[in-house]
Amino acid sequence: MPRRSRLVPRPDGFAILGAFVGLLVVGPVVALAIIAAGGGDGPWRHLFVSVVPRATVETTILVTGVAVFAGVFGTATAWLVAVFDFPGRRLLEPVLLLPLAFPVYVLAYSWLDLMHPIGPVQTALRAALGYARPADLRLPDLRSLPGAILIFGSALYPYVYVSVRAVFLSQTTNLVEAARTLGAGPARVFFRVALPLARPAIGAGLALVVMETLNDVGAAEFLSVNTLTATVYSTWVNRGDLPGAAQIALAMLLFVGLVLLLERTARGNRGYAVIGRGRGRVAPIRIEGAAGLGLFCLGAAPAMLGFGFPALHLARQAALRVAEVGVPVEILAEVVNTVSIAAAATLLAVGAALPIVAGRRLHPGSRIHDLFARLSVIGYAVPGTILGIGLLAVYGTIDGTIRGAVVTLGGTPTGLVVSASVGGLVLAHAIRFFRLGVGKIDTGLERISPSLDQSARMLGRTPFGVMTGVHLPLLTPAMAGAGLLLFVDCMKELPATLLLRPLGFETLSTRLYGEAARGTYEYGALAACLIVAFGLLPIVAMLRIGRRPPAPADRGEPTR
Amino acid sequence: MSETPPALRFDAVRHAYRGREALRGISLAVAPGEVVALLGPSGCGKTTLLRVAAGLERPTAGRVSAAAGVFADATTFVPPERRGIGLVFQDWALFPHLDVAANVAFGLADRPAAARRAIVADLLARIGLPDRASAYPHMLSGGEQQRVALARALARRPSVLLMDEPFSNLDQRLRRGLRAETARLLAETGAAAVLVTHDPDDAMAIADRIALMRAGELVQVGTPEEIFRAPVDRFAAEFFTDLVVVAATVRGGRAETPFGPFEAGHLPDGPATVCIRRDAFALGDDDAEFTARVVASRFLGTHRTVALVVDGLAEPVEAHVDAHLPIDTGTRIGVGIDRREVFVFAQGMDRPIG
Repeated sequence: MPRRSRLVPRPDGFAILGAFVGLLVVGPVVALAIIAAGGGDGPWRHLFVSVVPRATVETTILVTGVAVFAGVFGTATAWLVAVFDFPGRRLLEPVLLLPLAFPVYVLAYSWLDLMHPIGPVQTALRAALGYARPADLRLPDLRSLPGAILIFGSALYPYVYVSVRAVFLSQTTNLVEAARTLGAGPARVFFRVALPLARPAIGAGLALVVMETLNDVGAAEFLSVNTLTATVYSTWVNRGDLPGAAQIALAMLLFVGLVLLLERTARGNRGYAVIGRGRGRVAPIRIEGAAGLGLFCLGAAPAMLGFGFPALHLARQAALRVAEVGVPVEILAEVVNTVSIAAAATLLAVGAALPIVAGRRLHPGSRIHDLFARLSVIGYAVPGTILGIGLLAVYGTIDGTIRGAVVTLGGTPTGLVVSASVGGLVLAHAIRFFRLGVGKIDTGLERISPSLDQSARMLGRTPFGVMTGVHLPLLTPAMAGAGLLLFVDCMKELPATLLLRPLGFETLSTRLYGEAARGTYEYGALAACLIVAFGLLPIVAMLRIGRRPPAPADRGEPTR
Repeated sequence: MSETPPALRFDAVRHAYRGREALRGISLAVAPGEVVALLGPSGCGKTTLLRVAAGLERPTAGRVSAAAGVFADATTFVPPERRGIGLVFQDWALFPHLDVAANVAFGLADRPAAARRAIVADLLARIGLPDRASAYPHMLSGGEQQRVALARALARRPSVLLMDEPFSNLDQRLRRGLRAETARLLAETGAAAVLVTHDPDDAMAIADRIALMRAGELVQVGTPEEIFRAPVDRFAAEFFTDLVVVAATVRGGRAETPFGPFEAGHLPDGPATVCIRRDAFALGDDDAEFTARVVASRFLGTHRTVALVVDGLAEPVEAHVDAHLPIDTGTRIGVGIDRREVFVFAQGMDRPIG
């Protein structure tokens, strides 16, 4: 039988959908390049000379500082809870995850309010030290690069903590024990065995930290740091200079590419994977008394910075506000807006992710299905601001084309159809977070034995039939998990929403941004509380999955 | 043996994990240079006992000690890195980021570099891998990984070497070779060894003594021959070979069965269980004990398995007989029994495996 060429496959439904999604994702980036190339001369030269170098330097310092902070605290806390046993360790393990519920801009917002000269911290300090006026006691301003590094780091270290803890708790257990039976004390075990083995996990966590840092617009602005992202945003919003914004955006994409490349390199060309079975935890080293309390405080510090203090403050402010004026009417509309956008984007993304992922699996070796699956996820690497600017251009072109066509056909010129529409906003969210759906569903699919696909095919199902009849029912939990993550990330999204929302359309995040920009922090507390409350949902879900007690067989010898 | 202190000693060791008792009072001493196999089914606690010896688990009661002193009791707990005990993990736990030489040298951090190199070179030569020093674990075959793990554990010249299912991840052919090689290396270094296995062949091939475990308790401790020849109960007998088990009644020191009476002078009158190894049967024997009809027969190379219908038994009996003897199914034939392979147990000593 002649082998069918895999280079030019039959255009099946999977490939057509893949091509469509791929186009949607690549479109904005291509549009950016076109606009950037079109903005020949004008104010952009000045922009590159005066604004971009400084923004690049500040971005580099911020990213490096945040990476160091998050890397050190994420790894240290993971090691702490994995290897030691001290009073309160069981409590600390989940608590260290909580800052994930805080988008960076909400954390920055809360801390700025907390540390405000007439805020609770400084007022209490003055009272304690006997100063009368704010001017008498000057604390270092949070609105600075060091302050930003502290805030970003406290918000983002859990990305490192999560991925590294997984390694310490499972994959390296046997290796750590082996090192100990070979005479290595805790320090040598950490530096010679655990740390080298955790390097890929640290890298993966740090990549997320850096991406989130680059993605942020709100926090950098609140904290007066001129990042590249903030520059892109203000170049468009304040100066109305789309080509200039597109050029900086392209420069930033190079930055992102560099980070991803670094992560790949850091992971190294290792021919090995960490083998070894998860036996649960290493027999922990017990630390009692004052030393144990010290360890607890050390471990709790980043969680208090990233969650404890700001969450308490927000809750108190929101309660005060509600007691004072009741629940503002607008907030209900904002919740409805936020939830509908997030829900629609989630359904869209999860619904399209399944055929993309299943299509690749059902056509093994097909380059075209693989290519579309790879293309579909790059939205996650594109910061929201850049995606927003790119989509602005794409949507503008579509609207222009529609208007042209209508006019040519003799109709009255139409206004904006896609631009500044709810549909366009939903699409932007779906593109941005598509990777979350693809990733989760892919992991779920890997757990389904390929022989199930093959037997379904042998029993007469088409590839589409395998997807709907076999994959879909088995993937329900994975898709629910993906949906939850997507939903919450959409709810927290700020930059793309700011750029693409219809006029006067407010979500919880844009409301918060507006209040912070006006300096009326207390008005945004309720919105911030709601965002954090929704953000807690996936963490709770994650903990419930993680809390499944190990089966007795996991402890003894493997059943074979 | 009474003058020299044991290399490793357990006294009434108990261990519970989340309320589940894995060890219920184990007492066992391992003499210097002796190889002891902890044998038992999955979940019997043998791996837990090994981990308690290594210091990876802390016993909830009892005492673990060695020639050097107490490792663990109510007040003392020596962490694994200070016990001077070697452990070979079931999955070998080779450090994937270190090459073979660095893996073997890992435990030698306190030695000068030259000494370290010499020890590594010597051990790699002993395990037959002198030219694989710079290979990484993932480049080695399963058998090679096992040998490197063994060399790594032996590098510190431990007084006791612990091995967790050392041969279970290897195929049968490789297994036989490595058992012999491991035994040779242990003899050369003079280390006492405790190995955990669920495979009686492994245990008999390498161990001086076997400690048979069930549900966190020791069932029987003895040389392989002692346990095989004189199992204390049905479990101990059945762990080594398949049995034909029939209910019997003891009357006047004899157990009456459909196969005829068996000597049971040690038991009082009443119900009992008779266990017969499947290869104890001999067909066409001159001094036949009983007759049976052959209903099925299959040639299996080393032996022939036959199904015998015996008067008084509802189910046919499966026996392993001489492969050279031609058997026609359907024939009635006299059957003899080798009485050394028959064990009569009182009620309560007849718990099957699992």
